[in-house]
Amino acid sequence: MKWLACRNLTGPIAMLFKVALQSLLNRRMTVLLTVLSIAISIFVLLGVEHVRKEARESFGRTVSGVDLIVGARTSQLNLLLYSVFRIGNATNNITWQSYQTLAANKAVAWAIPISLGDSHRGYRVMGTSKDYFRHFRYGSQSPLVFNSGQAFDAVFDVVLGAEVAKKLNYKIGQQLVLSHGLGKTSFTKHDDKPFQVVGILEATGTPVDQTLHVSLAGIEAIHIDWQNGVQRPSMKISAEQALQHDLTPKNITAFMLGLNSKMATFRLQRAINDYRYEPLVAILPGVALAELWQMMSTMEKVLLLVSLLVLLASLIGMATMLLASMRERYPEISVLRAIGARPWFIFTLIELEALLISVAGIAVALSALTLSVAQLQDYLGEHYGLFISRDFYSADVGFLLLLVLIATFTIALIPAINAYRRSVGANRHNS
Amino acid sequence: MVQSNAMTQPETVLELEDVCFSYTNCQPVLSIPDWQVRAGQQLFLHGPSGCGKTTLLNLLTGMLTPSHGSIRLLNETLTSLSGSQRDRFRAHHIGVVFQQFNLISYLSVADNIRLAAHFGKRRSKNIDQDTASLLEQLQMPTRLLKQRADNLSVGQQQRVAIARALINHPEILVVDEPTSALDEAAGEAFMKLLLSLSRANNSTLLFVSHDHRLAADFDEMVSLPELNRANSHAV
Ligand SMILES: Nc1ncnc2c1ncn2[C@@H]1O[C@H](COP(=O)(O)OP(=O)(O)OP(=O)(O)O)[C@@H](O)[C@H]1O
Ligand SMILES: [Mg+2]
Repeated sequence: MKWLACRNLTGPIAMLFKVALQSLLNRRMTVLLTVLSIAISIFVLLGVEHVRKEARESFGRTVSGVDLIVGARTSQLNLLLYSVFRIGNATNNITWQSYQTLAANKAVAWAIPISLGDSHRGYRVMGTSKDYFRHFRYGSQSPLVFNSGQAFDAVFDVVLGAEVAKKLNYKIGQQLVLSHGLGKTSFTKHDDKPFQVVGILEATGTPVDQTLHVSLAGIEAIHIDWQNGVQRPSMKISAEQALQHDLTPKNITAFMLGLNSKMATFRLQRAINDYRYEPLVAILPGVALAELWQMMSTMEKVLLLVSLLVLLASLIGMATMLLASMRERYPEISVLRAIGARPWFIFTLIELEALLISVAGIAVALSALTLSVAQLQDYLGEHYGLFISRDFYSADVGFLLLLVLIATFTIALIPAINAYRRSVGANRHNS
Repeated sequence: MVQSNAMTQPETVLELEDVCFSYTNCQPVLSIPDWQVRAGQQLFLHGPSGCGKTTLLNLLTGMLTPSHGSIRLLNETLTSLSGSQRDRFRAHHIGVVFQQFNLISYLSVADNIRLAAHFGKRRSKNIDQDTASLLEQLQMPTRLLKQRADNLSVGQQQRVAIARALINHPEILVVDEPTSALDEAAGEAFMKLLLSLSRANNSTLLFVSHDHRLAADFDEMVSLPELNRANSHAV
């Protein structure tokens, strides 16, 4: 930046920069559009790369220490997605009976039942047991930690994920009402049976943050006067009355198992898959994740290819712009030659202009990315349980940007060599 | 302004020997067996359009190289120099003024002149001072220095071109039909300034035009077709 400061530009590099900058400013409209087109393509490239990497990491972080996940028979991916990532829905429930039988297996160290299907202002509600807070692990074997309060005890207690508490501004002791079904626009509310916030979890960067946790009894209680998805007014049961009923669940959505020994995993998996009384499926989260990666990796490659092609298109656009400007710049080249500029100076000038355009494009792209990653972070977290970090600078990004500059240089060879060739010949325009 | 020219001024500043040039392989445009120009002369070179005047000037400034023959300028054999040596030689010793488009349109007048000084390797700190004094001699207000070159009138641009060509105190000034874009009054004023400034600078002046009316104040008049042995195809 020193060359900007000194007024008497005499250094050769300072001169070159000055001429290149003035030349670009002189064509600011076309240059601006070119910068924008390059910025957009770099934005897409880096954005896709960042989300891709972060998605992998985020998915991988979501569950750890769970040996098997069991649900009604479906694809292992579907089970993984709805039980852990809260994406999609269970096709079928499993009976409490089956859960109890399998949880009692000798190989099982702990079992966490999961009951999904309700929501609160767009966040999903999960019925579970207190064991969830004790045994569930995410990241590298991190347990869930309470930011304030403690696990639910009473039927109408609720424990909030960090994001839920923060976004909806809930404090311990506050009351809230669950909605029947999913989605923000659910109109049927369980407003006769409000829940009280008794605990708020620390942020985990996993879908736990987006979840409201209640006891299975709580889930049972709010549905006690419901049948087939509708409340039956004729047999309305108040919250107090509900507590008098037997609140043992009849069904749950899925459950997670921790085993005493990893050796037993496959044996138990087979046993569950062959379970006689109900069609069940048991999955290994790691294996299901691997399948997910495989599915994603094709998509990733396609996305990467598309964004590279977009970048190539805009770099070619830039070369076209520079090449098209050569005609009108011919007098300028003659003048430069007449005052003693070497053909190399003219070659370097064109290359420098191209590189300045790319650098400007990179700067715009990085600023736009900084702004939008924050937005994207919220959106992806809320809708897909994907947690991406705001910090997208990494060695890979540096490498990609270097690649962009190298590609810029290479493609700008076309106009630069054209200018070089012209400048070696005589100054025709004066003859 | 004279001191930098104090380098041993040879009696003949320019010497062509057996020079032949053709653009394509076929017919030569120029073929000059022998031609000399003495130092400090103001020379008017004329000839019909297409006879090779601009081509000759491009040979003299080293922008083109002859097919054979030798060109000596200021004791330097131009024809044996490499491309970049010729570029450096041009930057240091020759000032050029074209018919039009003499300035880089998007740079300020001051930067246009500074750029020429830069290539001329004038590391002097008084470039700005010299520029101002040149502009004054060319009867132009110094406030124009900050203007973009293409904001100036054509006449003003041509006068800036003289300043630009003289900033490095070149021994040789090469001027190619500089007045064709000017009206008569502006053309006359331009000629007066050019001649007096080149004389003050002790430069040898090679001036090309087909307009004989401009020849009045020159030391010598040379007709290119008479010099040129190539069976010229003057239009
Ligand atoms: N770059 C070039 N390539 C091929 N032929 C050229 C080139 N430049 C000039 N010529 C040819 O060389 C001849 C001399 O051209 P030149 O420009 O030197 O003429 P001139 O005397 O300067 O004419 P004018 O007075 O019109 O400027 C012409 O016949 C022209 O067609
Ligand atoms: Mg000509």
